[in-house]
Order: sequence, then C-alpha cells, then structure tokens
Amino acid sequence: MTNDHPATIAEAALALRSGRLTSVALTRQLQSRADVLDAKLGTFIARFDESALAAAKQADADFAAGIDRGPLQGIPLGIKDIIAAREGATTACSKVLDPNWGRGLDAPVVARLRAQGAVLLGKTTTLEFAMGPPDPEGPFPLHRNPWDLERWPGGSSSGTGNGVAAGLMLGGLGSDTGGSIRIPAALCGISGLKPTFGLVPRSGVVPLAHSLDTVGPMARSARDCATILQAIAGPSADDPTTSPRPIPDYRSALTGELAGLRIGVERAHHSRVAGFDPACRDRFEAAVAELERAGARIVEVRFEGYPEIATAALVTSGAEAFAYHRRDLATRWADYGRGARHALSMGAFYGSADYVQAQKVRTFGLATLRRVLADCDVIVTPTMGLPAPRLDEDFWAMMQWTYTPAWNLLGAPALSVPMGPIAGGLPSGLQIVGGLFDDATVLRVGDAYQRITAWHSAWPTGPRAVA
Amino acid sequence: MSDDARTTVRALLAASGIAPTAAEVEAMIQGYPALRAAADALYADAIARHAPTFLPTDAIDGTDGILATRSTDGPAASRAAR
Repeated sequence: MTNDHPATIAEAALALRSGRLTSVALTRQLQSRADVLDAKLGTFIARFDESALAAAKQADADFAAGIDRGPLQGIPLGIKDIIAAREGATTACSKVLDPNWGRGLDAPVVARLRAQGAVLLGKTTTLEFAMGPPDPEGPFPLHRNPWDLERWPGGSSSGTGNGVAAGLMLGGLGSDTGGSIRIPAALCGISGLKPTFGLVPRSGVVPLAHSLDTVGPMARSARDCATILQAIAGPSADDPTTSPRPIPDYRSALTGELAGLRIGVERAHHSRVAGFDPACRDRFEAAVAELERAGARIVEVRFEGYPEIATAALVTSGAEAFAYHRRDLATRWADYGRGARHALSMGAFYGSADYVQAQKVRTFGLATLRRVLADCDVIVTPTMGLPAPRLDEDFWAMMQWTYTPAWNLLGAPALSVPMGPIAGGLPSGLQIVGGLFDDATVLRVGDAYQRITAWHSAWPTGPRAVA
Repeated sequence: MSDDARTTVRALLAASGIAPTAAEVEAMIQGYPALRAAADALYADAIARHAPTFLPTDAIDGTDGILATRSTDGPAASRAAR
C-alpha cells in the first residue's frame, strides 16, 4: 500500500506551515482513506467526521491569522476508546461500561491535544477493558493487522496501532498496562512510547490496573511520539499520581547523537532464552550493531530477577483489574466477552499475600533497575519474540514471548520502534527502556536509530496486506 | 487435573460470587496450576522475600517509588456500571 498524504506529524506540520497543505484537505484525505479501509481493519469504533472537519477549519483559520499553537495544530489523531472525549460515549469496547461514563467530558490528555489545535478523527478500537484476547464473537469491530489481515495487530491499543500503520491517522493515543502500546507498535511496524508512570495524567481513562496504567503516544516515528508526549505530559489536578516535576523539551533532546551513550543489551532473559525465534534474534543483533556503528557504547547487562519481576507485573495487574471488575463479573458475567471475562477472572486466583509479595518484588526490581542503569543509559531488548500471531492462534501462548510487562511494574519509560521484518515479512520491534523520568533519552535513542534505518517508513506490503 | 485444583478454583470462584459456565470453569482449572506455580515462584527469591514492600510514602516524587495506587477515576462521577 502507499499513502497520498504526509506520513508523519513532522512532515505534515511543515506542509501545513508552508501553505502546501491545509488541515481540511489532510483531514478529508484521511477520512476518505478510512471510508475504504476501516471496514477491513476495524480501526475506529466511532468517527468524529463533522467535529474533526470543524477543528481542521479552525486550525487553518488560525494559521491564516498567524496563530500557531504548536506542532500538533491541524494534525489528525486517533484516541483509544478507553479515553473520554466530549464528542461521544466511551465504550472500552464493552457492553458493561456505563454508557454515561465520561460523557460530554474530555480527559486531560484529550483536552491538551485539543488546546494545541489537534484534529480528533475519532475513537479507536481496544481489547475489551484493555485486556484479554481479541473477540471475534463480540459486537465491536474486530481489529486486524494491515500487514496481514488474517493476523492480530496487537493490543490493547489495537485501533490506534493499525490506524497509524495503515495511514488512517498520523498518530494517536494508546494506553499501556502491560504492553498495550508497545505490542501493537511492534506488530504493526510503528513507534509507541509507554511514558514513565506519573508523567501523563490518567484521569478520564477507564482503569485497568491503577498502579500500572499509563497513557502514551503512538505514531510512525519516535520524533512524532516526542511531539505528542510534549503535549500531554505534565501534572493534572485530576490525577494525584502525576508528578509535579518540570517537563523537559523532548524534541530538543532528539539530537541524533549517540556517541558516548551507553546502551545496555539484555540478552540473558530475551534473545538467549531457549526457543527464541532465530529471525528475531538476528534482527535484534542487527539493531544493536547499527546503534554501535552510530557511536553508542554497547554494554552487556543482566537484569537479575527478570522472570520474577515479569510475573509480579501479571499478579499486580491481575489483582488490581479483578478488584475493579469483581462486582460486575459477579452480576453481569454474560455481558463481558468470553476472552475478557476469562482474563479478568484470573485475579480471583491470587491471594492477598501474592499481591503483597509482588510489591516486594517491585521494590527489588526498582533497585535492580537503578543498579543496571549505573552501567548504562538505556537498556534494549526485543519488544516481542515473535511476529503478529494469526487471529485464530492461542493468545495466551504469545505471552511467553512478550517482553513488556516488567517495565510497567517498575514505572520505567519504554519505547518500541520498528527493527525490520521477520517471519513472512511481518514487522518486529526494538524496545528501549530508560530510567524513571528519563523519557527524553529513550526518545533520543529511538530517533537516532530511525535516522540510520528506514523500517519506520515502510508501508504494509505482502499478499495479505490491506489494500 | 488434581482434585486440589478443582476444589480450589471452584471455592475461589464461589467466594467471589462469579459463576462461569462449566466449560469456562474447566478451562480455569486447567490453567490454575501454572498460575499458582508462577505466583509461588515470587516467594522463592531470597532477595524479594526480604525486600520491603511498597509503601504509600514511596509515592512521594523524587524517589524511585512513584507507583502510587490511588484512584484516578474520572472525570465522570460514574464508574463502569456501578
């Protein structure tokens, strides 16, 4: 497939300011594209065509009047449908959520995008309540991977992931409790950042697990992720978990410079595990070699206790999600989708001591992170150890090769960027993890990698790609 | 599957007031031993066993402990079908 509009936020922002493009024209192009492709991809659960065009007209009028609200002015974005936006209901792709939840209100992250002049194209699909496997039996659109329509795009921020990859939007918001931004980013061949916990407000976002949930950007490039993060980061009176610390200039951190930066490579619990896909290992080693050629100093690191930290993340998310859903699971079992109710019920099988022990492992993991980052500036791993699974494959078997939840437990920033095709030409992801509140360095490494590679510029191709 | 797993799964579901279908209960029974073994492994690590657990004071910014667990529901007053 190809695109007929600027592919990135950075390119579109330049075109809008040069007068070569208007936001109305760009928005109409994307809406026309969605008219054709959305039914195949299951990207949107609700489109805001009229209000999007009104916002685009306003952006163009502002440009004409010399008003520039920033790099998102006039840029069409998608919003995961667990985040409240005033145009319509939030569903979390569930029949269980109160239809009045968040109605008529903007989550702070949405209000911030709107204040910067962004154009909100609509709400994008998610796994039910951001958890569990895809549900082909449910009443909501089944999301598909634009590289192979018989495969899963990843989740739970599935619609934002496949929408960006297929060019239906230039970027958008996802949320990440155990990998829900980074997994679709890796499987769809785009970039996605789980910011440091506490950096981005979560009020107005349907909770999954309170101590893990994070809202973050998804876009084609790390640079575009930095642009969106700049707009949504910062404390909010609505969310007491947000940090009051000043927000750095993320885009100015994107120097393209890696000389002297220490990159820790964690192979012990990832690419050296028995059964790890050799093609993914080769891609990962090629990415490490590219970073080294660009001037980074490669340091072998070992993250002690990684398996226990990953398990503690699952115990924590399982227990917290179950606490939120227990009453509804007891009274409205049949209203949940089959996969979601199974996943959410797993929390019933953990004891209170398990949860406490998981928090002890969390403390241990934070100390380990601090120790490892004494020897390096970021850690790199594969995001996933396999390509996008077919929609009929065993969802739970995939979890063994998913390297995202541990970093949610530790609150660390983690970015997934495309690192090239693996089996069947499907995308894979390189995960870049940093210290708490050092999102800037994570983005800097991702951006520098994308200056020396072109994987993030690739459009879905292949016999089963969307067209 | 052991009788222990069957008994435990059924008891925990009943304690939570959850009533899945028979097929769903069977799937949960099949998956329970692996879930239990993974959770039990958290206790086997000597370092974690002696590490302090997370405390509310850890949520104070400026430390590594930023992982507060306070509610962030909103902006709507209504939650999911409560």
